[in-house]
Amino acid sequence: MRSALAILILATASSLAIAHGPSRQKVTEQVTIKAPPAAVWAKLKDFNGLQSWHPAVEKSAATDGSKAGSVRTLTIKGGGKAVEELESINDEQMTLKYRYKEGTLPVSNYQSTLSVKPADGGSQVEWRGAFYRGFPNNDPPPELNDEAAIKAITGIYKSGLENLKKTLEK
Amino acid sequence: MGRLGPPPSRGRKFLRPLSTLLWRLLPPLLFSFATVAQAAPFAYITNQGSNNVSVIDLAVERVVATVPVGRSPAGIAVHSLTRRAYVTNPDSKDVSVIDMTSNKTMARLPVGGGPVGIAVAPDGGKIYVADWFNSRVVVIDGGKHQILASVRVGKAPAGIAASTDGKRIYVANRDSNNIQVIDTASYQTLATITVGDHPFAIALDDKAGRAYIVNVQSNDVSVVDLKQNKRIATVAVGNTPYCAALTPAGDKLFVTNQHGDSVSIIDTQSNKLIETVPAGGYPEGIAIHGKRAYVVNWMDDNVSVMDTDNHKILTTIATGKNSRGFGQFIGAP
Repeated sequence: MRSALAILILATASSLAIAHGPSRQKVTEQVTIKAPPAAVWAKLKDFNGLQSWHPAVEKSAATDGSKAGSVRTLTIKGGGKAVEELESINDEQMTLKYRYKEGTLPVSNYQSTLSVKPADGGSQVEWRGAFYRGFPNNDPPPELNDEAAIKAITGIYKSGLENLKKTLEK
Repeated sequence: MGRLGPPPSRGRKFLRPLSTLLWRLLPPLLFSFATVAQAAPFAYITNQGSNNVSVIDLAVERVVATVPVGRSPAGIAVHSLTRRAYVTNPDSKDVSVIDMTSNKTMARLPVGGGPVGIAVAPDGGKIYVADWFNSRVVVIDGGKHQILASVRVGKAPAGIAASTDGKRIYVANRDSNNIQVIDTASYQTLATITVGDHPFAIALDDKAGRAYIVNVQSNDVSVVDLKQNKRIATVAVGNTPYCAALTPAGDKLFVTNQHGDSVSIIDTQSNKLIETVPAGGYPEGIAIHGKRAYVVNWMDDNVSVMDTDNHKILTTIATGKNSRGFGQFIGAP
């Protein structure tokens, strides 16, 4: 959790609609939770409620709740922000997708998917993201290269899922 | 692929023994002719995360070879006539040339910048490489592997296509929101056509006088009339469309939607969406052979095989990491 925080604070790049690095990267993290999928999904589907389970998020303000097209502005603990738009939400498949618009993450063209599936009498949550590094051209500085982008997103997913598990298994 | 078998009986019983005998002898004969005339096609899938190309034998629908290339391979252009597959490596800033008969890399051609989109002239004489970072198309001699020209284009050139007669290339300038038509003899720009937001890939049907441009940001496909060099229709598709491929008859266009995890199918007569069907995670490259569409799923590291008649996924073939297959990736050596 602390490392995720540090990354979020350190990161300075903002998302650029124009151009991006040449190689898209991806991160997939999973966690199993001893709770019914419906209960887990109830937590995840609240697009304006990330602060209730992600340890790095201080608060959230969304334009249209958990409806597709809603834009949330996340305030990150210790500084930093992320503006993200809900692209789609599917109750049947327990899947939601959002797109990062701008903020302090060292990534660009970043899209993320959260989903829940039943597993061993409990639930399996998957958080996966696709993104380009923060620096759009060749020869990126180290804090905005592919590795930095992967590290940041991995940190966010890991610390989030860990705390989601803790919250729901209480 | 045609299916061999005895012809249906027409009730002429006395002929049956002879026809049965003939049909027993014919398949091996026909088969050997077929192998000589044209080998079974292969799909060459660039794996950006594992720095190699998966070679899929489409007859058996599995990977039969894995060819190491440069760093982060993305674009691909297969040329059956010269038995070469050209791969762009944006992170090593070069093009790998694969000999399709041996599935070995025979050359690495330095290009610089960020080579992504790639196309080969129909006769194999020229290779066109779009440099994502430097607003240019690099033209390479297909035989001597020397750089012949560097042609100025719009911002962030991505997809590139060569006309059937070899006289023109079409370049999608992603950040200029247009398509540039370039004469391949003079390298002059013949036309610049405004399309949707962030055009990435081009599917060309120059026999029908049409080009279909996939616009990543406006979630649609621009239909361009190649005689008037004008956009004549816009068809809304799924979320974040990326690539497109036409059926051999040109009657349907299949479009991959990255964020939609789906494929949209367009009727090219009416320019109307037929339907959008689920595909794998982050579908990117797509190519069609016969009645099969091969959809490259970047997130899932595999290729889905889709029936182009009923749009059902028939099977899935595991590939390398972060598969892209951006370009025309099917050919027969």
